[in-house]
This record gives sequence, C-alpha cells and structure tokens, in this order.
Amino acid sequence: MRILLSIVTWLLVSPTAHSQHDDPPILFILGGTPVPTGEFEAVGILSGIGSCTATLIDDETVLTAAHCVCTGQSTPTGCISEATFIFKNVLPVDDPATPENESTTRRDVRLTGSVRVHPQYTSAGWLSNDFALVKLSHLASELVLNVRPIPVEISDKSPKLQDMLTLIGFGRTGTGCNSAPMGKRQITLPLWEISTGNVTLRIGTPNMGSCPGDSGGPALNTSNNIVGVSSSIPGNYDPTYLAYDWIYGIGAILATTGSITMLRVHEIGSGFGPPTDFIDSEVVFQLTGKPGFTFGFELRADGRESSHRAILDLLRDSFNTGRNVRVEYSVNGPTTGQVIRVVQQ
Amino acid sequence: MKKSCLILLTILLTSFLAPQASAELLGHRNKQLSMLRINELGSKFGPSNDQLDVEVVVALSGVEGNFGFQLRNDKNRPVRQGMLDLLRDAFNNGWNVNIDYDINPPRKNGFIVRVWLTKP
Repeated sequence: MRILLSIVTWLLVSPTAHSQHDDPPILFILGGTPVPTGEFEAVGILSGIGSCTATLIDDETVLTAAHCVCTGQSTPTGCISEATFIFKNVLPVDDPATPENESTTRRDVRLTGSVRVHPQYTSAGWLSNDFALVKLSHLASELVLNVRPIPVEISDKSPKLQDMLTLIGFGRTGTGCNSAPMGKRQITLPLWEISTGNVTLRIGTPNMGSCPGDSGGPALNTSNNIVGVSSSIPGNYDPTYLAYDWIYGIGAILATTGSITMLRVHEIGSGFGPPTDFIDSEVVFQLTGKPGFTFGFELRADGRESSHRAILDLLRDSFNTGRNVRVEYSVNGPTTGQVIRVVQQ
Repeated sequence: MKKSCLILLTILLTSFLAPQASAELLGHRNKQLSMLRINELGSKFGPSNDQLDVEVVVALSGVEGNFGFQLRNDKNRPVRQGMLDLLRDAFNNGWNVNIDYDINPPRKNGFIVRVWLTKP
C-alpha cells in the first residue's frame, strides 16, 4: 500500500506533468510518432519547388499543395510543369529484366508526372485553393508493390470542429521548426477552427502541427480519407471538400486504353458501387489501363438500346480475344465513369 | 388493466413465436457452366415446389440446383439478353462465370440477378 501511495505521489509531482512546467513543453512538430514501416505508403515526398509532402490518391494521381509547384503564393505564377513523386522505403515491383528480385528489399521509388494547379489558386487570397495534382507517367502499381492510394473524402463529409485529424508529413521538427526532418511522421490533433472567407482548417498550435516540408501533406479523418492539404504553418490545411470535383475531374471527359479484366451485366436498378460513388448502369467493366476504376453504361429498352447493345458486343469481343479497347468516359466519381464511346484497337 | 396487459403479452408472444416466413437470400457462385438451356415462354423449370418461371436456365459444375432468369419482350429484355450473351461466352470458352442469385431456402433453384466474367 505504501509503495502504491509513493507511486501515485511521484506521478502527481513528476516534472513531466504539464501543470508543473514553467516553460512550454518541448514537442516535436509532427513529432507524435514516426509512421511505422508499411503504413501510409501512399504519402511520399514531392520534389518540385523545394521539398514537400504529397499523397497518392489513385493509381496515377498525386495530390499536393500548389505552392509546392509554384513560386507565387499570392498569384499563380512561376509554376513548373513537371515534378517528381518519391515513394519512401517501399517494396518495388520486381523487374524481370534483372537477375535479382527487387521486391524483397525496401527502397525509394521515384515517379515523374505532369503538374496541374487548381484554377482558383490564390483567387480568394494568399495561398487560397492551395491544391495541385501530379499526373504520374506510370501507374504506381506497376512500380510499387501493394501500394494503397488514400482517397479524398467525399465533399458532403466535410470535417467538423473537434474532429480528430491525423497529419502526416516529411517536414522539419522541433520547437519553432528548428530541427531537421526525421522522416515520415504523424500526429493526431483536434480541428479547433474553420476560418471563413479564405477557408482554412486550423489544426495546429505553435507547438504542434506542421513545419516547412510538410506542405502538401494530408490531414486524414478517422476513416483515413483526406480532408485537408497542408498549406501554411502551424497546421493550417486547405479543405479538400472545396476542390473535390476538380481533384477527381468530375464531369470531365477522359479516355483510357487496356484489356478488360471484368465484364458484368446485372438487373436494372441494382447499379454498382457505394452510395457515394454509385453508377446506375446495367453493364459495368474494368480495364487494365485504370485499375480500381469501374466503367458503366445503361442497357435498357429505350432509344439508346441499339448503341448500348453494340457497345456491349464490342466489349465481349475484346474480352473474348484479349484485345485492347479504348474507352472514352465522363468521370462520375473517384472510382467510376459513364461510358461515352468504345473503340477496338 | 389486467386485461390490457394480457392482450399486450399475447401480441408480444405471437410476434416472437410465429413461424418466420423464409427470407430471400442473395447467393454467389463462381463455377463453370455444365448446362445452358433456353425454353419456351411459360414452360418453366423444376418441380412444382421449387419451380423457376424462367426461360434461361443454367447448371453449374458441382453445384446442386439450377439458376435462371426470364427472357421476355419487356423492359428487362436488353439486360437479360446481355446476361445470356455472357453466359454463352463463358460456355463456349469453358470459363468460370460469376453469378449472384436470389434464392428462398430450402429451395435449391434461384433467380440470377448478376452475371460477370473476370480475367487476371
């Protein structure tokens, strides 16, 4: 009993208790914990204008901050057209052209890509709409094993005050950001303010948050979906719900080519996908050219039946022969698109 | 008061003890087709206690029961024709086919709602 009392007393008067401190506690910025090996591998370094953090959001797209690829922070000027995304300490896909098995040893994997800056970057003030995308020249899954992209949360699930958000970054550490970077680190903090006007999620404090080098990094909600992109210190994040349609190019007409890996026909009304990314189609299929993405179209007794029936027949031919097919589609959501045209090649 | 309590108790017991109607379940199979049949409208398939009022019927290798869907000149014709075409492709190439089906246990025969083919 005496020992127990002693322990309790020691804990109460311990100098580590914050209430006993005169000086502010020395906390590493983003220094909560190092990200364990194998976790959040989709978060890497973006080498653009200086070094930033960025996140793979699908197999070929990286999300970062616009000021990581533009010199202007009050005007969209000095933007570069190409950048390099670096997966840190991941297992690469084995290269069959070499005798060694590369997939057994962790290393960095670099991918270049073309840069797109949000069209309203700085339009609402300094660092507003601070978003940029890098479209990679290769699919990440072709070069990195088991990499799992981190999607952006749908726009109607915007974060609320006191939500616990996890910040990840490769930036500097220590009080005042005076210490050198210490690799990929994470910290979970509450969202304490959502500023209006130039909308910003305020997550950090002077002693905890983000530092130079964390810019472009993600703030994740408890579903591990991105809700913010690191824009300025300490812990100011631009909310992604403002840019959701732009990030995923919803409504944009795109094209991709590949062989069909799945072809499905189902009853009217059963559709495909979760409620947040649903396509009300009777025919759905997937292509090697865009893994994790599903294309669809209706097959109903209406004026488009003949053309849709013919598209299905082309898809069947391609599936049966293994031939590539080019698909032009309207983006419906992060992982679904509505087919407009199909071309056999 | 006693009477109303008794009525309430009776209602509760009835709702708990009444035999539950067999619920429709969604099943899934991924197998090769061992039979693909199309029959005249209305000729149906199976015994009276496990009958499918369908025109397209399949059997899957090693699977008890049969599965089918209607193929009629109605609003579902295009999608049913599409499902039939996938079944033909699977049969002609000897591929496995995935089906989802609605079934009312203990019946063995079910109604196909989705058909799909996959490649690695």
